[in-house]
Amino acid sequence: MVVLITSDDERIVVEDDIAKRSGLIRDLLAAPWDPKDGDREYMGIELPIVSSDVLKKILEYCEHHKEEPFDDTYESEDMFADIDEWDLNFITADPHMAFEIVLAANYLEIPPLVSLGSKAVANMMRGKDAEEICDMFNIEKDFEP
Amino acid sequence: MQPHCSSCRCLGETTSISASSPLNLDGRGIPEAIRLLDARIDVLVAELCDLRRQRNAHIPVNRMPPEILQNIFLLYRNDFSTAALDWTAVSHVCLRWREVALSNSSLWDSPDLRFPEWAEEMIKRARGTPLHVQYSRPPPTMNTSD
Repeated sequence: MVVLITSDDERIVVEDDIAKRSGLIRDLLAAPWDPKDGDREYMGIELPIVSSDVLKKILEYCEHHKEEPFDDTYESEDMFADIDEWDLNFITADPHMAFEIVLAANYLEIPPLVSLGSKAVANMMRGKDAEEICDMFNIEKDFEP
Repeated sequence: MQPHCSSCRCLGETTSISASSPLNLDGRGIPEAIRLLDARIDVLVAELCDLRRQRNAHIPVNRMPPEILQNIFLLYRNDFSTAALDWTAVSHVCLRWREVALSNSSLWDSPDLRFPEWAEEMIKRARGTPLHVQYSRPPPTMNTSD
């Protein structure tokens, strides 16, 4: 088991196989560990930019995909061409959370989840012009093209 | 002759005047008064844009690293199959989006030759990236003279 410590100091215990969906955690667990530094499981892995609510969502995704081979591809051509229904429901359930998930998944190095989140954001922008995109994301026009 | 600021039309003396205090334009001719007011507007607009940029930096979508934003822009572009130039809206949203869009040469690799001026600009922005060009042969016209 692996203990993950979130930015809001919550300690979340996770199975190795699920935690290792993250490239960052995989690398940290593979790194040499000096027992003089303490018990590894007890010490846990600090994730200073991931809050507990976002991490729980990400672990939900990792649990769902734990049997699948690792995918290191970030790029994708089509918006929703190859997204299964579970993933679609997962990422579109809460648009605000989608941003947080993409940021955290990028930090944790989970390429398929970054790609999924990117598709969700692109889909929010679908068919919208610059002004509508500004309104939707609460962006102020800050330059004259 | 009063000195000009090199980066805009303002006079050095106007930059320290706050927005709420009216300029003292007594004794100046109309063109000079307009020039001073324009200069002050320029300074305030630049300041406003700067504040908006600082504000926009805190918006969740703008916390995304540039490589992710670039991928989002590509997905958005690829979704436009017919309206050839509409996807360029991403470069008009805010300064950060514009900088991210312009820094990604592959975003501009599909110039639409139906719009020659834009095509030329897009080829420049593609900066040597291999281009994708589509050509549709017009349908044959019926010869009715025989």
